[in-house]
Amino acid sequence: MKTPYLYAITLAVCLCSASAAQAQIIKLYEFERYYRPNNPDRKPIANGAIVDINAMLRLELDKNQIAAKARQMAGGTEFNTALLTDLRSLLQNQSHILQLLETQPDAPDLEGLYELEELMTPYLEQIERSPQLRAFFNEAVQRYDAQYPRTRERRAQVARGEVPSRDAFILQEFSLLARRLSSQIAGEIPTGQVKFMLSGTLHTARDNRLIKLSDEFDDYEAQFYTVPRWQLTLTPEDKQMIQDIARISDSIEMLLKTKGVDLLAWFKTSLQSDDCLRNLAQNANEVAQFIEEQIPAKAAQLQATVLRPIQVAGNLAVELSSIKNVNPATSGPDLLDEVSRKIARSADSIQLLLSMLEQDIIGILDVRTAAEPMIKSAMSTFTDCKEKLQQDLDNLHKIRRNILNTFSAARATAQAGHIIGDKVRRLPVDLIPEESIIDLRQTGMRTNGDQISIRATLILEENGQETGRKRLEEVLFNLQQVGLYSIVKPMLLLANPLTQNANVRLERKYQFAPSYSLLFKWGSRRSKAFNQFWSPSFGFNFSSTDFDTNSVPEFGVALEFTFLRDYLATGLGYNFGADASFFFLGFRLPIASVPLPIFNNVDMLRN
Amino acid sequence: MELFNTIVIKSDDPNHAKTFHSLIFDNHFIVMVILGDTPASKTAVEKADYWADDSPRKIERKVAWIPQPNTLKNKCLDLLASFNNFQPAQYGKVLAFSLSPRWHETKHILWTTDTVDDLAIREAYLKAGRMERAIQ
Repeated sequence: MKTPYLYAITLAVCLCSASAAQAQIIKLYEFERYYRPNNPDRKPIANGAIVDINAMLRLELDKNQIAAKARQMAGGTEFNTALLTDLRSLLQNQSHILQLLETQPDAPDLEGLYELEELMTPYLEQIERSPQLRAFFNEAVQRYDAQYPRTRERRAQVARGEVPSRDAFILQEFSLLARRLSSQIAGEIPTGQVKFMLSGTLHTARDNRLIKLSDEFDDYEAQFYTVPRWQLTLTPEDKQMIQDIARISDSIEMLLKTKGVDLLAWFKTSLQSDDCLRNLAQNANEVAQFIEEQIPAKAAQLQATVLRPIQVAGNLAVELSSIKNVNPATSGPDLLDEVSRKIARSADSIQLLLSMLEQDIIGILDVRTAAEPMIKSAMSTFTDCKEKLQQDLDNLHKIRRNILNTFSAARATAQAGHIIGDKVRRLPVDLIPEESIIDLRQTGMRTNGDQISIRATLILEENGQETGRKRLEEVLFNLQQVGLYSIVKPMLLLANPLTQNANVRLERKYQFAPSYSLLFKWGSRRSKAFNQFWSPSFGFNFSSTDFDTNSVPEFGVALEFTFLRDYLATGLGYNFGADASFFFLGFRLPIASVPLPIFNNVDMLRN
Repeated sequence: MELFNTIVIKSDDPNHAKTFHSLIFDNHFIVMVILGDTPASKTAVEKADYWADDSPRKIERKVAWIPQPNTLKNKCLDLLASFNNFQPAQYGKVLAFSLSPRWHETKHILWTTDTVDDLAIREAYLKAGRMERAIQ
């Protein structure tokens, strides 16, 4: 054979194989045959196959193919995977930073809380791997330098919280980037949705009607499985990344809440000026009384200077107490907001009180009065309180800076993740059942020769309006009682007596007589002609012949064989009234047959 | 550009070796040693000086700029020897390296082929500033 022919034949074989290899979307199996061990017939029901009318069917759906076809139908552009990768990295690192950020309740120096730079390790390692993120990092540094021109005082400014550190600024910038990426990704998500519908129809000689398929597709009108169109435009890897983004966003929110509760625990144990504020108010009252008695000339000034700090100290004690009593059940971001607001207010109050203690109260106690033991004691309380207040103020500033920098950044990033994450929570393609059971006995009235079609359809929708419909696949099969079953049919027969005795007085060879037949039939899985055309059966015929012609019919019973869908019958019988055997030919009457509950389980009203 | 945290090690300075040694060994600074006077080296000096404004965990950062890489080459090789798998033959390809504050070990090397940007410098400081081995 010449080479080109060989190529052609090879190509043809390959094409045929490829076509055959393309998997079916809908696979139906007859349950009993499917589970029979070592069953060579364990293959899906082919189009046009004959299926037992009472079978339980196992339905399998190839979801990958459904998703692929839906994706093809949904269209849309390729998703920008790099964006997702970057966003996921940002979220992962944010989550990691929060996990490392330890607010140790027993460690009032809060080292773990404000060493943001140390915690940026994972950020930098991730950023190094992404050219886009690396460029963004360097741009963020430039923005920082432009916004906060360099001075020799920078270190002190950062320590005082007047200027954010470069790292804190960059962290914030990355949170903004996360938001931008999320918006961009959200913008690329196509609108609309694709519905997947699986419906079953019973086709009879009279009409077509929808049938119930299974509990998973439990509607006669066929149940829809709706998949957001954008989901179909994603690769499995992208989808996984979006799910990761949603999960990490949740985790960040949880961490925020945990850290907020940690902070509250820290406040409860570590704010030191509580007690001294109470003493301060008491001592200030004593000092006021002493000055009024001893230095009446300064009494008026005292009213203005000493009593006001007492009031401020009282308010501050309430404020600090309210920080400690923030309800930890408040949700994560809200908790941090509340704590941050209260800290800011308390810090302002402390600042005010400190300046008052310094300038007013201590200033008014001149050298002469300072010699008094009571004043000495009061001065000591003020000084001690001042130090504690200063320490609390520093810590509150540090915590607030952390809340504003790290926690707010984390919150912003988590929210960015949720822009996308919320969409993930919609019904995914995965909810389409992969397999189901269809019980043909639940499909209502049916008879041999009826057909059932099971159709998988995709419907494309935009703004609630159907814009396209595509039939993915349809499996059509024939229903047939397979194996032995019984039926009763009326029959007209022509009886020819084989016995000649005194009771047989027929003038002609054959006598016409009504009868009915109890027939046993069997169906084939392979031959439609056998079932629908030849349709043979064996059975008994019960006739009312009148061989003695006295107008009183005798009872006769015959063994019978029918064919051509029982339109023709023949057999041998015995007339008990005439004591005569007979041969007969029979013809089925075109009226409804009745199924008997012998080897039978089918609803059948028509012939 | 004005350098706030940088000491320039010049070979014509009679005390240059002592200055270099003192900067590293008499203090607990994170020191970034930058070699050469190429544009990349100068960029590295500028950025390293800027990033040295920060002092996480109160550990100060300093920059030692050696414009002539052969100046104090042996001292630099001694310091670089603490870096995993470093070969003296690679010295010519070293643009900068960062030293840890307590044990003065090389924690990160920036090669002449590396991109010199803020991220690279930040990372060099970060690696040098990580918790060192336990004090024995």
